[in-house]
Amino acid sequence: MMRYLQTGTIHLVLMVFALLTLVPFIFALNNSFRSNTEIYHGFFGVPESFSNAVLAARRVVAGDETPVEIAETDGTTRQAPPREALRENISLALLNYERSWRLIRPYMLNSFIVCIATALGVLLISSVAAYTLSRNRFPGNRAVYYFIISAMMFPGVLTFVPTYMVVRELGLLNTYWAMILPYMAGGQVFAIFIMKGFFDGLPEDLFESARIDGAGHLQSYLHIVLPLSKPVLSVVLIMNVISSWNNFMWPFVTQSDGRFHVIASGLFVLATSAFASSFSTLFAAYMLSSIPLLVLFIYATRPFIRGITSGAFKA
Amino acid sequence: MARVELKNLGKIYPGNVEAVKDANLVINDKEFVVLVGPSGCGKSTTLRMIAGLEEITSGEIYIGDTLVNDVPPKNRDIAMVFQNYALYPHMTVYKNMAFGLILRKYPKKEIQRRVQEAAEILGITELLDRRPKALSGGQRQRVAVGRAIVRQPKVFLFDEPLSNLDAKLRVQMRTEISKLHTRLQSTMIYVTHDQVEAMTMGDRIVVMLDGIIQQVAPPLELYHHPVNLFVAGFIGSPPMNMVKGKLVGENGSLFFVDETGALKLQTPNSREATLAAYENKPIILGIRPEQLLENREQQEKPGASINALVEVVEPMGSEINLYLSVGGQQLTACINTDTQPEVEQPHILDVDMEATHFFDANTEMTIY
Repeated sequence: MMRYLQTGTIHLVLMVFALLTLVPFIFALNNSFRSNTEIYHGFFGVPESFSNAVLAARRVVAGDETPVEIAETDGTTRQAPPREALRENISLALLNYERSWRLIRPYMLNSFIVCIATALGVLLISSVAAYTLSRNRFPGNRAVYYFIISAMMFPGVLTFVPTYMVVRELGLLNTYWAMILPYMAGGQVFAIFIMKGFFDGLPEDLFESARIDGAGHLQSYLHIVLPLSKPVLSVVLIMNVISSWNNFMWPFVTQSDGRFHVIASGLFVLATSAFASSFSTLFAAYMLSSIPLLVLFIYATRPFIRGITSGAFKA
Repeated sequence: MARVELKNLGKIYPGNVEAVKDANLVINDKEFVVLVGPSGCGKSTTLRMIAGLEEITSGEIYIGDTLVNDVPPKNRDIAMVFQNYALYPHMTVYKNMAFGLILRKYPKKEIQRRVQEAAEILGITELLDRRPKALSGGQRQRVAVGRAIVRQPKVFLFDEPLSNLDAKLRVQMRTEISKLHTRLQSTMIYVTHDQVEAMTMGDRIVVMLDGIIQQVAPPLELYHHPVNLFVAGFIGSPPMNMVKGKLVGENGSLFFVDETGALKLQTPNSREATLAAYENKPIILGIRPEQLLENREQQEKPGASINALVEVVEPMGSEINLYLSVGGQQLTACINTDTQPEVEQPHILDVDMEATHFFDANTEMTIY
């Protein structure tokens, strides 16, 4: 009994803390449905369009024809019959999203291009490198591996300026490559580290069996390593996409002319320029910009959870 | 022709560990040869060198008439069944079996035909769409064997394929592999540490110890004529009783007397000439458990029987294993179930001296 009480209390406290992390998200989500006027009145509160829409919906259902309020974006209000008010309020609630989508669409596209190119590049290069380091004995094998791993010890800020200079000398500023290439270079190190660890754990018998079956290195890599490494590949994919999606400083600095702003730098540009005072649009933009990562997370974590090698070997 | 020949084969692992020393062996076409020995004896290393998975330090390996020292595994025309099955977990049974053929770019129809045929031989036709994790241990091992069969290789290599199966399944698979050999008529090299597997399956058995081939012989020859103490003790279950002692001449006959003096057995006349040279020298007498015979009258025959204390009685069904003590010397006897010896009671057994073995205690080689 005492034990249940104890664990129950601990769980409760943990749950509260877990929920606390959601507060900023909920706050932003809530405000993304409110108009600027509402936000200026106060940061908390149910979006007026929501409460009006609910009221209108109730009246429609009840057959009550009493007019319902519509809060226009310019701060004025008007009364309309429930059916019209319902329709108007719903489109008002989504208005912020329509506006912000138009603004951030090019940034989103740039982010997609950069993230996908980076992730594919990192997956390809690091998996080949990790396979080579893990499955081949050659002189200097360990030295090369430790050399790569040692790159993890340098914090990003330390390499920021030198990398910038390299990119500038290569004439890559204000291009996609200014982001893709350094991201690939940076993302590989940790990717090689965890992939090599994973490949080391794949049973040697499988590779020997493949060798006897007639597989060379390329075939072993394609037919054995890659299909069996879905869990670790998805981890690397998620990590790389998250970090390049969220990277702000680097694109902000290298994309100074603004043609290829990605979502993070683009949002900052919006927030510091024309839309500085339009909180409602910004909040909606923030929400929209987080959707791709959410979707990725849901899909890419699946193979992760499945125990993929279970059953092929005697435990 | 899938004759396999090892010439002065040697393997030294990094750290100067000599796993295989100067192994010479000819495995004939269509022969089933079993490499057997305790763990670390070099049997698996030998097999892996034949497979091409392990580099050869010295010597030569021929498959057919080709020297294969530097031929990669895929070009050796061999197939191997691993102890851990080593099935590809992400592929279906069909794909597992077809993989080798796909890599070799066989036509699809041919692959289908071969896989189907192998699946029928092994009785796994209904499992072809499953993945390895949905199979039982025995089924997985069948798939592993099937993967080897479809390739129709010159030589099959088995690396302790049954040691992960439970006892009953092991016996069943044992006979199946033997049947397979009869059916496929190809050369098979089989590694095991289980002497029963070796005895029951092999046309010839290669007994190894510490990287050295001790004896190569058909099962019964190995059993009846072991070349040394190790082979004698390794082959046969329960193992041969080894009694240290010496030969003493008495009244014109040679007697074996053990160290405690509790055992005194007359050597057969036919052997006296051979044994005469060992008179008064340390010698080891090897008596197989079934060479200790039931003495119905329970009357001691001087020089031909032992009077032992029964310590443990193990009824096996068709026979009884007796664990005995004679003057501190532990002996195992295997007698029929007609009699019921009692624990802690003395029991007299005759010794079939004609069938026993003598070993030189210094060289551990068989005298006869």
